[in-house]
Amino acid sequence: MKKLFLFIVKLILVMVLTIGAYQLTFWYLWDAQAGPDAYENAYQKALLLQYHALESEERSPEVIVFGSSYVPFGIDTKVMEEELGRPVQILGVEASIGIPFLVDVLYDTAKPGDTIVYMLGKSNWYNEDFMVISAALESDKTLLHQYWDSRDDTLLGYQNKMIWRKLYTLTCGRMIESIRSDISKKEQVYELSSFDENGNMIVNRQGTLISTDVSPSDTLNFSDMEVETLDMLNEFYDWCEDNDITFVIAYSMYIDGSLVETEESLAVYHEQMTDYMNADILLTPQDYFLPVDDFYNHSCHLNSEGARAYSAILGEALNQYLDEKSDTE
Amino acid sequence: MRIEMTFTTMAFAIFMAITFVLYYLVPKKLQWIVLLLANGYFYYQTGLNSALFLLGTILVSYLAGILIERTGQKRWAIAVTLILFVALLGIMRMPFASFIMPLGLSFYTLQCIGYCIEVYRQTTPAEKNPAKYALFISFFPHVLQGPFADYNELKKQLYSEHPFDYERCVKGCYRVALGLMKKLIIADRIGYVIDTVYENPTDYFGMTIFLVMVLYAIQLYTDFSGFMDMALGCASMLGITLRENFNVPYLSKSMAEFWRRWHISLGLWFKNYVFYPVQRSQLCTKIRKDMKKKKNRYGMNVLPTVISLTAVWTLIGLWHGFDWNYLCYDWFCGLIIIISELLKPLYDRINHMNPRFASSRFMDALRTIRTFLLVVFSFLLFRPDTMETSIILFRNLFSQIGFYAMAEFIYWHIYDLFLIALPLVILLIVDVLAYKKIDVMDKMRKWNPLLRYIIYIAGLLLLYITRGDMASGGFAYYVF
Repeated sequence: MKKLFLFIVKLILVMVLTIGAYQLTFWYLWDAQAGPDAYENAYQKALLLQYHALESEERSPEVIVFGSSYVPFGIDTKVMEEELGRPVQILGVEASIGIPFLVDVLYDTAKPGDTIVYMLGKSNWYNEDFMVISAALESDKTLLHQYWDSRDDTLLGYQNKMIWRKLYTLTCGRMIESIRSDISKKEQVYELSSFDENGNMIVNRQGTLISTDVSPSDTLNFSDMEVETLDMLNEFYDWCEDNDITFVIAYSMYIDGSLVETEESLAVYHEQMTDYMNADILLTPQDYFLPVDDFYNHSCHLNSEGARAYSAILGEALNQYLDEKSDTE
Repeated sequence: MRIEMTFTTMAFAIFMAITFVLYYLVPKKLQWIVLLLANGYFYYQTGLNSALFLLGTILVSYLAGILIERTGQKRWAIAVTLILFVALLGIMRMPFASFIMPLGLSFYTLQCIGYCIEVYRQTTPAEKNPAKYALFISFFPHVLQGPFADYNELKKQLYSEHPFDYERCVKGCYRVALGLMKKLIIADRIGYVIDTVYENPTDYFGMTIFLVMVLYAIQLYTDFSGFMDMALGCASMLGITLRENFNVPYLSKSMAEFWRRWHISLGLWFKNYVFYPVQRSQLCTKIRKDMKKKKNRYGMNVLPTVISLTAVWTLIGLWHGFDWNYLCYDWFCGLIIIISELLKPLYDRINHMNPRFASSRFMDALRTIRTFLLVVFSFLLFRPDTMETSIILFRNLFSQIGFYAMAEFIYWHIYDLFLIALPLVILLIVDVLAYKKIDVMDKMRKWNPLLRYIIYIAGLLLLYITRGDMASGGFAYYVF
């Protein structure tokens, strides 16, 4: 009996120590300032730069363009600033950050007089990736904890994933990324050094890495849109109205000839979107069609030339919209 | 198919802890009753209908055992019993019955058949106490996936008294932890990586398919042997030793050896109850006599073996399921073994030309690689849901090399592959040591206790962290 008791006590002790070791590992890798920053040069970290630029007390009212990865790849702020005569700031690095998180940031940082543009594409992620945001915010512990605290239940479910992802990044992530880059011969754009201090993608993206053999295979349907995101944006519009902020929507870029939809069905789509959204929509999807040579490594990622072209279209449309709006007022 | 309490769930951990404590706290004479109640509760978790089905099967085979022992018409009694159980298995394998198929039916039915044959052969007396017989069939570590147990071997252990054995329990815990590592980290994660390929076979080519085939071989091994480790570990904690079902199969040098190391208890069952009876059948005896008359020693030995092997592999195929994939898979395995058997004289002659080279490590390594590749290819018939998928994958495998696509595939699953890397290294070390008949636990017992406990904690930590946030899938062999 004594041996049985000893066995059970030892087993419980091992379990308790394991739980302790687990909590210690998490604390060291994530929670404490002592933990190594594995995401030092991570692409997602550009989000933090964008956040800090937006929260700056000194900034004047500006144009903020937000959305998924087609925002950093598609917006050339200089071109837009020239067109609008106002500073332009982008917000967003990749789809899995999730639109709700970006809207939360805007609730905290938008100021009266700002003009906010949402780039409506095919990926309107409603459920954000906890891990991706944590990696982006890691060096700003206050913000990281603020984010975790707002999603208490989620942190527990993600703790393991965060530990092993960080272990991966610390041990072999960089080596694997460089091998991948060598094999694919792709220009390495997925790192923090591709961005300037305000989180604008400044790395020169030349040529196209996707197939230039374009055929109608992509679709654009109202039914594919995440309704939760659209509803949340409508709510955000109301808040903007109450706070003297202009909020409009612009379509993202599409490869010319890649959509299976006809002119008529795109008109229906535009009409459905216009009816559903409280905010005004700038132009029609067709107005944002660009030749395949303007796209870089994805059907939504533009190269530098493409970004200039898209930004010119958006800048002109926005300028016209703002002029008309001020005339009406 | 309701599965509430698999070995990897918290519910099972609680169940096992309660069973374990009660088992050693009650008077020793009552231990088997604790086990029987635990078995009932465990199997009841798969559903009431399944539990009633198991109860019915136990009752029928118990009565059959008594009848076979007492009747003068033993041959008739065993024949009727066999027909009954084979028909039951056959009906439950039909597509229309698949949704009511009780969990573990294929395993415990073979167990019942084995018991009845042993009674018929008078190698064991029929069990008079139905509760004790029920304990043997429903013993929770083996009722769902085996290993198949010999009644004579297990009854002594199940019904005898077991004082608490510290060393045994520690070893049992180690086996459970090893099984959890195999299942939760390696098998489940590989499943997550490769399932998409089998679901969309037309999208993948060449090296990606080959990589997936190798990963599947690892997945199936870690899934099934992981279950066995947990079953053997739990049984060991209760003072009961079950048969080993795996013995480092991927280090086999031939397909026949592979099947002596893979699902060992199934192989033994078919050897005892199909292979030898067919060998001793009138047909094989006649062939042997005819060949002897013609002084054809090769034919005399080989032909009956070929017939027996064909019967065995066809029946194993049907046991796996009434599905062309399973049948072709088992025929493929059988065919390789039969061809090896037919060509044995030729191999022997070649090996005799240079015996040193033939028995060199280099040749052994080549044989191991050849066997592993054959096994990997055979799983191309086993894993896909349909024959059509198998054909597409086979065609795409050779249509292009697809190195870059494979690199891309690895990249997209790099986190999962990173997670299984260390456990795979641990598994490889454990397997190689087992192959060399070195007991890891015995070695570890001699180490400094502090170091040992640090290793235990690190192992459990690794298990917990790398399991990630994925819910554990069911075991691969539950479908049988």
